[in-house]
Formats: sequence, structure tokens, C-alpha cells
Amino acid sequence: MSHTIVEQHPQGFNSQQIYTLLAARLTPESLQWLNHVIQQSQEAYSDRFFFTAFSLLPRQLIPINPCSEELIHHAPDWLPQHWSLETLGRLLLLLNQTPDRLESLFSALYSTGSVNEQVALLQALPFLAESERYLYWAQEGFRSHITAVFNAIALNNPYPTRYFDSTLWNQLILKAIFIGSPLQLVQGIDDRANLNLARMAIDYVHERWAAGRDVTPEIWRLIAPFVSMDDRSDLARALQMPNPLQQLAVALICSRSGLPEIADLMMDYPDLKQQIDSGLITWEYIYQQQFKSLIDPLADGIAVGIREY
Amino acid sequence: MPESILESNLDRSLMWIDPHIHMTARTTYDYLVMQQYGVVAVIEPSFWMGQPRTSAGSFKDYFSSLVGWERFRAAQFGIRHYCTIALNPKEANNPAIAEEVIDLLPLYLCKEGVVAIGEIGYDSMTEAEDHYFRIQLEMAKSFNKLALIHTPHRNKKAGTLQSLEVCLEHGIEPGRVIVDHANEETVRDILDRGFWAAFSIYPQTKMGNERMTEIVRQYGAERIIVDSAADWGISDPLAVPKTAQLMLERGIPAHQVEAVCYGNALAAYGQTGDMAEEDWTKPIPVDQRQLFDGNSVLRGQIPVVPVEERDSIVIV
Repeated sequence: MSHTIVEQHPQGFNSQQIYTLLAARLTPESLQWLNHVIQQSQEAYSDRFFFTAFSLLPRQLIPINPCSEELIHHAPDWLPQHWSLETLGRLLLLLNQTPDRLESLFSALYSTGSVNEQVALLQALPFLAESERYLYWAQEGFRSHITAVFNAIALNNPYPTRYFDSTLWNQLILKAIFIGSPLQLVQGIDDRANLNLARMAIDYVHERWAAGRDVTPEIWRLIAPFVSMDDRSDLARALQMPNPLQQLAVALICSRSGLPEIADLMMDYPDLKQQIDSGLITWEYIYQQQFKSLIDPLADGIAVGIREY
Repeated sequence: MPESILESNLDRSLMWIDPHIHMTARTTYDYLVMQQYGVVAVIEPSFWMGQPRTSAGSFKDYFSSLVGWERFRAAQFGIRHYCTIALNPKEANNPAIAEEVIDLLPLYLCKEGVVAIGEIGYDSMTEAEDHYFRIQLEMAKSFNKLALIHTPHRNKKAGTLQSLEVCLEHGIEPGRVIVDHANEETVRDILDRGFWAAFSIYPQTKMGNERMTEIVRQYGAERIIVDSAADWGISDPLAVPKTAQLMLERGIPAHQVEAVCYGNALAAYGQTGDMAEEDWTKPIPVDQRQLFDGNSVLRGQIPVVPVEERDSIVIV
């Protein structure tokens, strides 16, 4: 495709690769539409044309096979496994703009965006040239109360761990907990662990317990690296609570703790200790158990797209 | 006849569409109750907000919330939300912002869930209203959109007739125009010219549902649509299911009730492919935690507020 700008992007791919992926899976009419849009948005550029194309894209990109799993299986490593065809298409449109034009387009598109458009824009962020320019919009994304929009920046997205300072990072993680998004899918969740976040997490645990409410078992993952004697009574209490996954999470902390007084908490729970000793209990296991009702076993961990609205 | 919809034996498995309701002005409790009474989809026409806007930016944020936040809010309750986008007739009279709002429309008209340009038409039948009505009819043509016409509350008959004439003058196919807030005085003209006639069941000021029942008895169900037009005023988000119930009890054939309270709205607004029955018959997750791996991995059907908790005096 001669109209595509072939240039190397930060993720070590180029837009030609995306074009090739899409081209192999679209009906001839869809491909014709896509070619037309890319050509027009470079040669006879107008804002109105671009905005219209960006919005119309989901209805114009018709896959040859309505199930696009094949696309996912053939995607190179850089392509997130959960992307939809339309997000891929929207990324391609963005990548065909110069960085300066893209920056102004991005702000217009995001501030007027539908849910799925905002999702695509946030998922595209790590792939844009000079992507640190878009920090403001990444923050807008995680401030959103629309779950899909929040998840688009928070989950399976390398942007926050790369560009968020610790204040922003900690707010992102607290919000993920608050709205029930799985921490396992936040990139950099363990690497970015910090004492401040651990303290905020334990405060949150206290607040929830005071209100007679549960916490997500994953919250203990944030506390784990910084556990001290101050936490002993909280750990003991959590072990007594009738939440098997939380018990496992806390048992994981106790069994790995170098503090004998904390490791000893496990003495009253031989069954838990046995499970931990089996080596099968990991934070990922806890995530899988917690969200298993929402993870389709048939999908084999692979999803074909984010389209809820 | 039961006095209350709560005591009625309305079949809860039936599906209804409310094709004109201003959900921005309604609470999440309304969504919950509407869903329980079988409302599967709503269309929210953009209109004024009671308080006049003083900048085009207010319109931008309003339009954005119609394609974003409000759509999400409805989806949490398993209700599919669509909208129409336009400069409304009332605020077409504000020259300081009208032109800027017109320039915003192309940003929104092609977005998913935008089923028409509307509400457009006349409020006080001023020159400015006429000017922007015509501009937006031309936009409907160039963007392949339907048009939703707001007919004026004052001087309704003349305003309605003029609206129909202007549509025809601009070469708009009547089958692609929904004329709303119709009444006994305007229904004949609207239907005879081939337009869709929508009726807003709105206490005291617009249509009552006993009158509505008699209109369907007289004119049949073809191209007739029932809506609530519920907003921040004293209005009723259950107007469509209540009207369906009343019609069934008063002997309107079930297929006609289904047409005016569901099928016709779908047929009218489905013409451009922006709204389809599969949107709600293919179950979508009613789950706030949806979507961390994409929709195919999600199967949850957890209502935001369980019904039994809603009726309890204890709030946890």
C-alpha cells in the first residue's frame, strides 16, 4: 500500500505491518474504504473528513470472517492480545498523521469521543510517536468513571508504568481497586510497588472493614513487599475472615515473610500452609480464581475485542 | 382495571423502546425501574436543558455525555442508549452561539449510537429557527441521517404543517423523518404525507395515554410511535410500558401495541443501520466490572443494584 507512511514506531513496528494485518482480513469493500481514507487523510486533509472516518470506522471495517481470533493469533508480539479490529483500524488512521497534527487531532477526538473511540485512543497511546506528549489524556482516561475507558488505560497497557510518576501511579492503582478492575492485568504492578501505596492500601482495608465491607484479595499484593509488625493484627484478622481467596492471599504473605512473628500466624492454619507449600498459589492464581466467572475458558485467555457500547 | 402498573399483569417479558426520553435529567433509579418493566432501548434527543446555555462549549460537553457517559450509565442496567444530535429550535435563537454549535455537529453525527439529527424544527417559528432548521435538514441529507422534528407547543398545527412542508421542500423522504409531539389535530396531516408520527405521553401538557389509545384505535398502528419525552419536568419514564398496558386492556390488538411501543421505533430509527434489534437481544454484560479482557470473555449478568436491596429500608 503506497499511501501508508512506513516509519518505525517506539514499539518496534510500523504502520505497514498493521495495514497488512488488516488487509488480509477485510472484505474488498472495506479495504477499499480504508485505502481511500488513508489516502485522503494525507493528500486532501480536512479535520471533518478525518473525524467522520474515525467515527464511521467500526461500521466500515467488515472482517471476512466475523470472528477475528485469527487476527490475534497472527499478531506479532507487539500487538496487545485483546484488541478489536476497530481499535487496530483506528490506530492505523492515527499512525498515518504527522506527530504535530496528531497531537491536535488527539485532543479533539478524545474530548468529543464516544466510549469506544476513547477506548481506542487510550489503547493506541503507547504506539504513538512521542507518546509522552499525551500524559494529560492518559490521566483523563484514568479519571473516567466509565469502566471500559478506565480499563483501556489501566489494564494491559504499558503507558502508565512508563510515564506516570508515583503520585499518579498510586492513584491509578487505588482507583483500579475501587472500581473492581484486576490488578494482575496492570502492567508493572509489582515493579512499581512502593511503601506509600502499601500504606494507602492498608488504610483502605481498614476503611472497608469499618464499613462491614470486603476488599479484593488482590489488594494484599500491594502490601506484601512492605509487611511489618504493624500489619500483624490485620493479617491475623484477614486469616479469620470467611473469604478463602483472601486467606490464600494473606497466607502467601505470611509464608514469605522474614518476620518470625508473622510467619508463625500460619501455625493455626495447617490446611492453608499445605496449599502454600504446594507452590501452586501465586498472585496470578488468586486473580484467576477471583475473576474466573468472568473469564471465558473457551476463549483460552484470548479475547477478540473491546466493544461494549 | 388495575389502577397501578405494579398491580397489573403486564407481561414482564415483553420488550419496549422509549424513543424519546431525556435520561440526562433522570436518576439511575429510573433506569432500574424501566429495565424491570421491559424497556430495552431508549433514544435521547438532544434538546435544551431548562436553563439556556451561554456557550457552545456547554453543547459540546452535553453532546459528549450523550455518546459517552449516558450510554455507559444505561448499559449498566442492560438498557441500550441511543441519541440524536442537533442545535435545538429554542437555542437556535441565540445568535452568539448557534453558528458554533452547527460547526460542532459533524464531529458527532457519525458516532456510534447517533441515530438522527434532532430535535430540529420550530419553537416560536422565528427566522433564526427556520434558518437553522433548513441547515440541519441539509446536514441530514449529506450525513445520511434521519431527522427528528420537534413540533412547537404554541401554534402547534401551523408549526407542524410548516415543518412538513420545509422537509418536502428540501427533498427529504418523509419515511426518514419522525415528527414528534403529535396530537389529534396534527396526526392526520403527518401520516397522510408519509411521515412517522410520534406521540409524547406527558402528563398535563402533551398526550395522555387514554387519548393515545383512541388514536391507535382510529388510525391503526402504521407509522405511529409512542414515547415519554420524560425530562426534568413532571413526566413519567414508564409512560411507554404503561401505555402498552392500557392499550392491551382496552382492546387494542397485541400486534398493534407491539408496533407502536416497540416495532415502529425500531423500523424508523433502524433505517440507517445505527440501531438494530441484536444490540439488545444479544445479551450484553450488565456488570460494572465488565471488560478487562474484551467482551467475549465476559458473561456476567449482575445488576448494579439488586432489586431486593432497592426495596429494603436498610441501605448497606
